[in-house]
Amino acid sequence: METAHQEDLDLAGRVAAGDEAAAAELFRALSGEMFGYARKMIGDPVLAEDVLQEAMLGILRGIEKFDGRVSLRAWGYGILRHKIVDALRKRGREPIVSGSDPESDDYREDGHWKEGVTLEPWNENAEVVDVVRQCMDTLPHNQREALFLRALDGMPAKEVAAVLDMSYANLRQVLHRARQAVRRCADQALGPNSTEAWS
Amino acid sequence: MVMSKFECPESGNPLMPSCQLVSDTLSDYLEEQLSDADRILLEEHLHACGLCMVYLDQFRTVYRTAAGEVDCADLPSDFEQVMGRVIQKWQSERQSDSQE
Repeated sequence: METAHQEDLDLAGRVAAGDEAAAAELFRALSGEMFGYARKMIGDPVLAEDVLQEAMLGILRGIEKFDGRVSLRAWGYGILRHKIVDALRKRGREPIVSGSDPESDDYREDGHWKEGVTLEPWNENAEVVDVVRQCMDTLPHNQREALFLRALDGMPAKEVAAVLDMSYANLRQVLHRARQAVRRCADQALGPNSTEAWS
Repeated sequence: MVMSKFECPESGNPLMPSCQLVSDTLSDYLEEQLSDADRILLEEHLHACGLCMVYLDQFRTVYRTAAGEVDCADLPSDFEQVMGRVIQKWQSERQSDSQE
């Protein structure tokens, strides 16, 4: 059967047959990006190295199950994200999951802004970007992983949904809630009533 | 008749989306996932609503910042050795499995 990921199937087949050069080829292609993602999600580069090793071993152990329905890259990220969750739990950092609408209090029942709601325009400079980044780090785990997987170069939204084992519609909602929460957090930190939230 | 997701019968103009609906649709707008009809209605709302325009600018900053957040990291200097050890461990497991 020809799939959209035939080259990945061929590579996975070589690895599954015990070809060490093929395994090295796979890891050299994926590891830099995966390490960047793991470090972003975990915040600790040493632990991120351990998690990357665990993920590489997990990929090799499971390679025979790769069926080409998603890219090998996305399939590998599916393993990596489970290793990240395991590592965070071992460290007592239970990943928090949230799906609430952070903006709903700002609107009247008819969907228009409540009176008294104000928004200050941001000048997009290094300080604003820094605050936005810090707000991303306060997001619940499921929103952070959706946001950062979607940030990977060339990872289509449908593959991100597959990595996260959720529907495309659900991913879009999680991503949107995450962006809304970051915007709200940054607006509070940068607005006229902020109390040096990030100093 | 194709119903637009922006039809808002509660408002004075049944075709004009509410501010909350605009907010809920901005990810789709920035990712170019809206139909032409919905995009035009959203942009009409934005041009008429200063608060939503500021909201869009802020949201766009968040969207752009997130898009640049994950880069390839420099791997540890001993990565090749670590990778070799992982591959050898897996090969040992395979051999053990095949002997059982």
